[in-house]
Amino acid sequence: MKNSIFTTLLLLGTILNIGLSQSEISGTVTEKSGTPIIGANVFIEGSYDGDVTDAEGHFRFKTDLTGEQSLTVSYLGYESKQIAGLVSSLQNIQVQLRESAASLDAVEINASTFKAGDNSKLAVLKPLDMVTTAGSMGDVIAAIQTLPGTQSNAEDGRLFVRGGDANETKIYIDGMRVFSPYTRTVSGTPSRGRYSPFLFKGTSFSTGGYDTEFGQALSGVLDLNTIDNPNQTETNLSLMTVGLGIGHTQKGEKQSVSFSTSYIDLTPYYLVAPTRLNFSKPFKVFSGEMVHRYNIKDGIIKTYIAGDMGGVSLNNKNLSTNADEAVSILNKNIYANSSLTKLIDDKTSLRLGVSYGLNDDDLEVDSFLMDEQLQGLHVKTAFKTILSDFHILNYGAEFINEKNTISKGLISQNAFYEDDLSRNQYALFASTDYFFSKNLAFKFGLRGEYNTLLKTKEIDPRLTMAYKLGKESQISASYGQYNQEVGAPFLFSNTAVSNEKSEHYLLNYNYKNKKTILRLETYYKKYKDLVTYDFDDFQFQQVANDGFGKAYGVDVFFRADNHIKYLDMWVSYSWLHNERKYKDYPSLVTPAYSTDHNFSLVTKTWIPKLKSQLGLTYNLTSGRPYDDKNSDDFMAARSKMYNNISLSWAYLISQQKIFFVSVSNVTRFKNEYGNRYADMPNSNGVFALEIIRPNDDQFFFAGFFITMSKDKMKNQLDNL
Amino acid sequence: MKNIITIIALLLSLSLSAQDQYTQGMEKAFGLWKENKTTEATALFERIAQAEKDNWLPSYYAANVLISSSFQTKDKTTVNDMLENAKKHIDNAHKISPDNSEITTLEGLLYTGYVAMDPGTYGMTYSGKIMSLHQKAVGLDNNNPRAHANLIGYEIGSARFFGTDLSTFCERLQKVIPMFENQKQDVPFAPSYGLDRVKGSMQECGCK
Repeated sequence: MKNSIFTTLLLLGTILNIGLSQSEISGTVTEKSGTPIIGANVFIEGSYDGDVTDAEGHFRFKTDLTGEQSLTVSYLGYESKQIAGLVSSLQNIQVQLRESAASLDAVEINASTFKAGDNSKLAVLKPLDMVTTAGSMGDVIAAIQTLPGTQSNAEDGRLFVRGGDANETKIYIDGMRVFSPYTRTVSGTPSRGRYSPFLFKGTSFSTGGYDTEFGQALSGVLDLNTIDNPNQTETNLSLMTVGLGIGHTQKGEKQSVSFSTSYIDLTPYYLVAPTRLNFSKPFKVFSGEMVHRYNIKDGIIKTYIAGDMGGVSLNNKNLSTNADEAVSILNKNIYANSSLTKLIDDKTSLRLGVSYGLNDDDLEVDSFLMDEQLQGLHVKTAFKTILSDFHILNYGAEFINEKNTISKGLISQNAFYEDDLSRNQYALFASTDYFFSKNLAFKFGLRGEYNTLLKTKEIDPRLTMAYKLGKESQISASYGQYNQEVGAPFLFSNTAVSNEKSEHYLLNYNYKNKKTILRLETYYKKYKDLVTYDFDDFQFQQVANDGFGKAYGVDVFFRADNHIKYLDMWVSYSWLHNERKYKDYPSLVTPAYSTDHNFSLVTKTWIPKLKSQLGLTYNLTSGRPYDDKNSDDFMAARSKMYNNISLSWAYLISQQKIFFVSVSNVTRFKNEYGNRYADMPNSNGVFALEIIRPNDDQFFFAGFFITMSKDKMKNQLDNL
Repeated sequence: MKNIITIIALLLSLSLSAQDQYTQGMEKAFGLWKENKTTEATALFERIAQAEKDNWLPSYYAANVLISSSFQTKDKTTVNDMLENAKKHIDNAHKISPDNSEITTLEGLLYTGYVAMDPGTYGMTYSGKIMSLHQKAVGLDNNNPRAHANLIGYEIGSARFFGTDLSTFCERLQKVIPMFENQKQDVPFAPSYGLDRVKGSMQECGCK
């Protein structure tokens, strides 16, 4: 008994004793350079005891704790540091903190990519610019074409990047390949991207030097990201001069679903508006899209499904016979993808995805019929491991299967040439981002591919270095090798071909402050093993990889926000020198889709008094190369400059009702895209010609958009 | 037996002194905040949060100090840092106390901070999110006056923008006032502020 009382007293004594003897902890926190860090939080882990560093970086505080303790030093934007030791030894200690490479103002290694979205350091476009740009009429691709490095081909509509053909730029949704991104159209009618901007939160567009995750693209990569979690349940209605649309989003606790359908029919429009085309059935398309998102622990599963069906019929003048030929297209397309994003542990995250596409085009020209089908499957798994704030690994594998079938012939003969083709591509990729400091970073990666049909093996190295010059500017340099398959039409007749290849050298300068973005990039691209052939007897003959080419140029992007209140604008200019010898070209020339100078000016202004957003977009493109068949020089002729001013006006009738009008080519410039020639010379030995003009000198669009939601605040202004 | 009592008494006094430490620490942090020493106040709330791992209040206040002072800060980079730091504290608070109306309200205020910093970039993207967070906060606790006040506050902001009549908000604002009076104060340091802001809004809307 006595003993235990004694023990208790002793215990009490000890406790009191601890209470009485306080130790002092002190020291200085600096950066590596010795500059004091002001405002860092220094404390003993698990206790309240601590201090904030003063103007000299000093800290000093008292603690009742004894023995071995851990001292934590933390400051935002710097890596935290733990120092373990006996309390008595934690005096006058010097602590150096290293700036965290994960901090906001670290150098950006993928500076060459154009990003739209809110989380990127170097985002050049805000998420909504994709859709509020005048003249783009909600087409994602059309908005991207106001960025430098793209070649605007108004009559084509597809993406042409830095002298590359449209098929050299691949399009992805949530990292998964889209196999048929454009609707098929008749020549001279621009194709649109299939996917409505309504369901996407951001895009990343690379005009060169892209990551090892992306293959099968010689020139560019566009990745569209669907919205993770919508904000609320809502219904959207649109009534337009070109059709109708309805969309609905249902938001639940863990999951949400959005769908939208639209019916576009240009028949009523062309009853009123003039066009150069002689339509028998104007363009009609019925389309639907659905996104389902399901939140799981530390991750999300997203599923995207889209389908459309449509067609057009018209009469085209054959210049050789001077007679009208009937042309009709019927198109069916289905695309689905599903992806899982999940954190596996503190360091590693996983992305796993699968996409499937089926596209069917039926084309009839006069008495000739062609049915083309493409089926694609893409499976990808990608990991990202953050070894430390200074060292990140990305790696993964993918599998692509593509099947093509073709059947063509004269309708009257009822005997068709049929062929099909299937091949698998396997790829492994890995890259490492290494930050020597917050200001200097280095990325190195490798991509290996194997094609089962062509038995080709490719290993493409890619390399980037980025250096931060100051608080608001940085430079980066990249080198990369790329390859892609020659494409289905050439593989039907010949599997002894290999892949087309390109090399990119880039130098990029970026300046960004609160209101201004300036981006300069110069590049040199070398092409080899491009496909060459003779086109004879409606067949590709002597298909080989004897083509080559080069492209170099400068891209400039300047954006100024609110320098003048409510005025937002950006300017893009690209200068391109592009030469290739490929396809059936007899010599090294600039291809028809490639123009030397491309200029765009986009402005938007919000007028609070009128509750209106006004937009103006101006495009200027130098003359298009074309081949004058009445001259001996191949592709030496140039068409006139192309000019277009588009205007748009969005008026908020009330918070949930918007009236929207847009007009393209307001000033009615007489644009042309080169000449079209007859297949055969006439009796005077001259090839009959026709200047290719836009189908519509001007396009007018009006719509009325209504949103219905519980909060009565949201509207569709975002989508216009 | 006595032994056991002594030990229990000892433990009790120890735990009481721990309680005291919490009270003292929190009071000191509030004092620093009042004196506008926001760095010190945040740092102390942060320290209390890492010591009291099961209590959401220190993290809530660490975030609150940062968000409130971000509205007074002009430099965009600093604001960005503050809000990013605040987000970490909110995430931590959510982890300790999921589906908490107060934390959800504060999260709505966090995104309002982004909109205030750069309306052009964040205005349209975050508006829906802010509204849905405030609505969620009201749904989690219909008697939380701060949830109601922030929801109405954000609606007033956009009504001002559209030049709509503000007096329509009076009735709803009026209903919030008794909620402040009926707040339960069973947990020390539980949020109870916000009445002044509602009164300010009533004045702006020209309510009687």
